[in-house]
Amino acid sequence: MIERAFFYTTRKRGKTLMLLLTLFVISTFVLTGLSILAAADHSALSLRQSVGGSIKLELDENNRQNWTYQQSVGGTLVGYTGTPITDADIEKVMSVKGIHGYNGVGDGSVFAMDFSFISGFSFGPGSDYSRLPSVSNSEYFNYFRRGAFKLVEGRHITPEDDHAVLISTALAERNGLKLGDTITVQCCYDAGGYPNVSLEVIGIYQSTLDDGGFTTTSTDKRNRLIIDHKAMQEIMMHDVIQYDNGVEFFVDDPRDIDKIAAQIQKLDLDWNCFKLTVDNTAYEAVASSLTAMQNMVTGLIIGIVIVSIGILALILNMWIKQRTHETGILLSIGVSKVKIVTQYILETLMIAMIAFGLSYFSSGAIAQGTSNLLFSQVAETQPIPEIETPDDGTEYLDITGQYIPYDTSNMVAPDSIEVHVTVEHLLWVYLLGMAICTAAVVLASLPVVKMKPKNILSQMS
Amino acid sequence: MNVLKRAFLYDTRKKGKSLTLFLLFVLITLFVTISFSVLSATQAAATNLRETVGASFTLRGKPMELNTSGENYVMQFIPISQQDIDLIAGSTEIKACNAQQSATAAASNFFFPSGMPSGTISANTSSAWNRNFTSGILTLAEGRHITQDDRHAALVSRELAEENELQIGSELSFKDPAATVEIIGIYESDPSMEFDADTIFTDHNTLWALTESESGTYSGRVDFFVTDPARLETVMEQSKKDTPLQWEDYTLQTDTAEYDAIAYQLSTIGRLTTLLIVSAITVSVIVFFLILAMRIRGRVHEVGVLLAVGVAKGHIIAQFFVEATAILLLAFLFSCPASYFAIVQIGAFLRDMVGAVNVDLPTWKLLLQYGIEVFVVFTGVMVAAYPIFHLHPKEILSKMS
Repeated sequence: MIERAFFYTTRKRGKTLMLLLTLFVISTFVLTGLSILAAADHSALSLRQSVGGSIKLELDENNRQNWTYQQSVGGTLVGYTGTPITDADIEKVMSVKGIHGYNGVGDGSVFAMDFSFISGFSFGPGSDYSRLPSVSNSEYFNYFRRGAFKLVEGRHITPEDDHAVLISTALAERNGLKLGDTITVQCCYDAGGYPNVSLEVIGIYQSTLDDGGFTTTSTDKRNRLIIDHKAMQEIMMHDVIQYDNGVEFFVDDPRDIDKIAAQIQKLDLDWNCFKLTVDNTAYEAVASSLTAMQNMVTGLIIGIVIVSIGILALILNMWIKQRTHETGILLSIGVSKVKIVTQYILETLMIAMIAFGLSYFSSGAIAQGTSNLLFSQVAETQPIPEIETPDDGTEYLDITGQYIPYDTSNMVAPDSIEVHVTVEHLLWVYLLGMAICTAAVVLASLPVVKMKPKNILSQMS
Repeated sequence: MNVLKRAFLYDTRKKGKSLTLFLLFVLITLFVTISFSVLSATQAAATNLRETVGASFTLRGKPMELNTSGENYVMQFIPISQQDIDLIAGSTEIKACNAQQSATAAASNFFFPSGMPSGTISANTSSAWNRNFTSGILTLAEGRHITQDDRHAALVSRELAEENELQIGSELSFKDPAATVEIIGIYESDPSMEFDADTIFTDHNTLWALTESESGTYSGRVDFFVTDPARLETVMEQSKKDTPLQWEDYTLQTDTAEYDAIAYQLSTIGRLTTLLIVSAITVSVIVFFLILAMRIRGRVHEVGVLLAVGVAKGHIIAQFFVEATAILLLAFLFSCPASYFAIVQIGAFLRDMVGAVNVDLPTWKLLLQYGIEVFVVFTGVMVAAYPIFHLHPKEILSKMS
């Protein structure tokens, strides 16, 4: 029987080749489809990642027992007596899976000691101070994320920085400061006795905010000095680093943000003093369209699989039907029906094994070609960053006389899209393909096998 | 017996074979049609996605004089006229625009939250498109946004409203020069962005009255938001060409940060879908060929007999072609309504997910597809019958299995 199957496939080269080709094309098609689906899902994930989402851990200002209010000249002094957010808390949250970064924000106000702020409307002496936020990663800092500030020179602050500062182009121009210069500040709080602290300029940002003309020194955003937490600790004379303005955590996949938030909520943190807010607006804006696109692609792949199964079944049907004559002869010489059908199945499977195996390589090649194509096209269409002249008038010329576009943070090569054919996909094609081949052959042979040899022979065309 | 009759008889008598071929044709035709509409649906979804992320360009007058002598930078900008704004905003590819300019004004019947006597007035054509709102620094908590038709309308901060116990409908008065506005909305700001809660958003008429300046001129920025961020550069270039401005006095700046973040991945998904459909079509064509080849190869015997009785080779091939085409036409008849039905389903599905999206199937596309399929069948028959063409009847009969 096996011998007969072998002979049939080897001697009927034309027919075998035809079936082999069909099976090969179909399985290549399915494998390529599956690999494209995987690549599209990957792209969608990267898209979600670049859209991002954040979860903010902050002091709960609604829980009044943690706050003290003191009437004093000029307003109410608000004090916080609850648990501060510290590095230990951040570490706990970062242990939750699916969070890729964080930015803690501290707060303070300082006088300029060896340089001068851009003055606004003044209310007597002592008002010439500015607030300075301390950040873990300035790239994630709200002002930069929302596009209010744009780094034009130097680099962002990272958690490793010690006594680093980012200043505005306006401040740099006014004081003739450049990268690597140091400035000295001192905390301006009433308690007094604060030390002078020197900070090194590592980056210069440009403010794109339109504040209107009406600002005081402390509300003019161009006076913001963005510093690291170690510098803040010394300026404010804290024992530990405190994140007064909360910590924002950035998730890998905004689709999972609620799950991640729920996990953080379960952590052993002082929930009496802290609260958690989820910001997922950017993702929500694109979610429906993106999901629709993904569903389309998935639907298309399902369509491909169904059509392939259909084609396979019909072709095998044609193949077997053409062999009515042979079946009749075999039956008449006394070969059992089971043996005949088994022979057909064996033939098909032998061809299928080879076709599926080959398709692994062909679809691999197509996948490779696809990635190359996608890459080269993207490389062509990727715009060259334009050097824009500043045009809001306020900062007309940079200290160096020109603007170097700071783009490296945003220009990180987008997550490479690679279309891969995995062994897992191949196994699926093997399993499914062989099951379908067997089923199709059995179904196609049924009418032939049911007939008596005499009928079959008389039916022959 | 002529070709047509023989073809008809073959198709009707060999019911099993005809049915198999019919099913194959239906399957492939349907699949290809649906693939095309899925492609256009995916593109529609992508366009929709692009529209939800903003991209804009900003028109500004260059500073006329730079006064750095005092403590403050005092800046005078070359004004932009209403006419020019209308001209650029008139493009169908621009979905919104907002002219914005600021001034300071002194309070008369209320207090600014900071306690200062005067505060910033930000005049907008449509405040919803003010950068502070689009970037999420501010959100409208109550009421509605300022639109082009509003006169003496204002948006105030939650702080200002609470401090003065004001609500929507309350009036605010300014002095020197005097002006009155009605509160139509209350905004809240992201506390971490230190937005100046003194800021009052108004319409331009109020600002022109407050600054006693000529109405119809804008000395600030005008943001134009494009419908499709992918076309930002083109739209901007076109605007530059169409607007008779002294361009050396003005600057245009693009803001595509939001779109840039997703552009690459979005176009990748689009390309992958296209690729998928291209391969689906390629495979369909190959399967067409293979099926026809198998079918004709299985009929060597018949060809031999026909040749032996003196039927011309051309007639035999014509018969094969007519047989296949007849079945193909039947398949078209069946798959055409089926594909329309499927497309309606896809359209409904998309509308549920992303709102108004139109997935249609133009008749010319369908006809083109059907035409190509007929051509493929023709080529397939020719290719498959090619060896038969070149054999003598004797050889064919001897080759029969």
